[in-house]
Amino acid sequence: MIDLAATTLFLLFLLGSVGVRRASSETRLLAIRIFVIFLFGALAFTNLTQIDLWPFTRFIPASFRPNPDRETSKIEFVVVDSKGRERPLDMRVFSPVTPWVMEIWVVEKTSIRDQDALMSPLLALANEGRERLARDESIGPQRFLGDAAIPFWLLHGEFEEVSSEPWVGLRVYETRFIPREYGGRLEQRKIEGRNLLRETKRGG
Amino acid sequence: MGHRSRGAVVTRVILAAHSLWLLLSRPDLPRLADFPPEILQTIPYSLKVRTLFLFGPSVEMLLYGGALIVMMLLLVGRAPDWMVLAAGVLMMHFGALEEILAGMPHSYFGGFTIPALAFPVLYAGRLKEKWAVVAIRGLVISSYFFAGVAKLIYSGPRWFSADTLYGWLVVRHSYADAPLALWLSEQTMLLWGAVLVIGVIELGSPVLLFRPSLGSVFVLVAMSAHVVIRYAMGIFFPGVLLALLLVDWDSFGHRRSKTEKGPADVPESADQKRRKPDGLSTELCHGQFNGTLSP
Repeated sequence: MIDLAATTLFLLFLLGSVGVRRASSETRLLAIRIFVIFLFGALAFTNLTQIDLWPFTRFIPASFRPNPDRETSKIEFVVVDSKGRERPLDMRVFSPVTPWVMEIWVVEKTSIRDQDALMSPLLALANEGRERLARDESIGPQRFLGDAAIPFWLLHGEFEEVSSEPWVGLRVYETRFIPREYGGRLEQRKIEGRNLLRETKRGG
Repeated sequence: MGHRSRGAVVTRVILAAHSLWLLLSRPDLPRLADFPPEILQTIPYSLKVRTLFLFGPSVEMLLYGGALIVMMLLLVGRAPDWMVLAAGVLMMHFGALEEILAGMPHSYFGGFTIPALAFPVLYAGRLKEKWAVVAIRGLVISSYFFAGVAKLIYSGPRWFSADTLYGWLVVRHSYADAPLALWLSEQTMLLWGAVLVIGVIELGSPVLLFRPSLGSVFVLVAMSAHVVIRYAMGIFFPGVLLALLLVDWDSFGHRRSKTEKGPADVPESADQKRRKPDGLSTELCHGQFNGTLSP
């Protein structure tokens, strides 16, 4: 239903654009007024109802009041080499999908059974990115423009250390923590304990 | 119809430059169509139709290459007018690909939203009319204004307190590259100042529709805030360049014309005045509009 509404809205917007452009001089002013009211009316609707109808979208940066004393969680992807050693995954290997979206998707958007089956394709993507890095190629947003590229909006770590040996496993961990308590010492929290949410099957 | 306003030209250049920069920073967009089918099948078909994510990797690559060419032609002013409309559709399509797997939860942040809406407006305004420039400025203003409204919707007036920013800094430090977060979280007076600036920038932004001359000051403050947010919260706004659309480029040109005693100072002839069928429509279309969207 949302998709139908968003599609209709954008189509009407495009038709309105063509209509205004082609309107005769007698009707043009009225056409412009209707078009502008439609444009800002649609934006007001999506933002007052908080129903996203992309590209009539919600502008919602940092709208909540976070409680630094409430337990929260962080999702982390790690790869495993043939010796069983783990290392953090440079999430640019999943580009154009942003790290934040990948975290939502792997945890929330598929059934638990599907997620296990989907870990192997993700590992393949991760190895594809590793190979590019091993060939000294840039990946993700920096592939064409290097440091001049616009990064993904949520800034994540990038890792220069690259293994020439294929990774054999991919794991997704969830670290639960209280921000005020661990804000500057999250690494310590990771050592103390984290939950394994997903991993590739043996040999996968 | 009429002459091309300076604001319309600058608006086209800023939109094209931003879009080109953004597209070149997202070289993997066509690659999504080449993702494993196990992943792609989790996207609802209706969402694929809505975002035109219906093609294979080769077509996506062609579309991406086409989008780059369109933006370059727009940048140098060599694009046929229909391409401006196509540019909006392409930005809508590619903007969706970053978030389509998760159902588009934060599509605004990608930087594609305003070009997707602004290019069709520019097309409707025949790439030269002042009303379209004002409407596009309104789009940028709405991105700030509705951000403030969302804070009121979700958190109420209490959002605008140092305590809220403290919470965000501590939480964001745990997730992202935010070197200033912990230091700033201890500067209570600075946090109150920052909250005040955020409130004025966001909820006060509609003033720019009536006082476009304040645009330059607004842009300076907003861009400074974006820089601080990058280092304090680890959030980068890809659309930051679009804030330049809030500068009143027509007035800038007008002031220069006056200084140079150019055509802007030539008085209108009686014949020219007689030929105006409607004062408002002339203002809307010929660049003398005062910046408001109502008569």
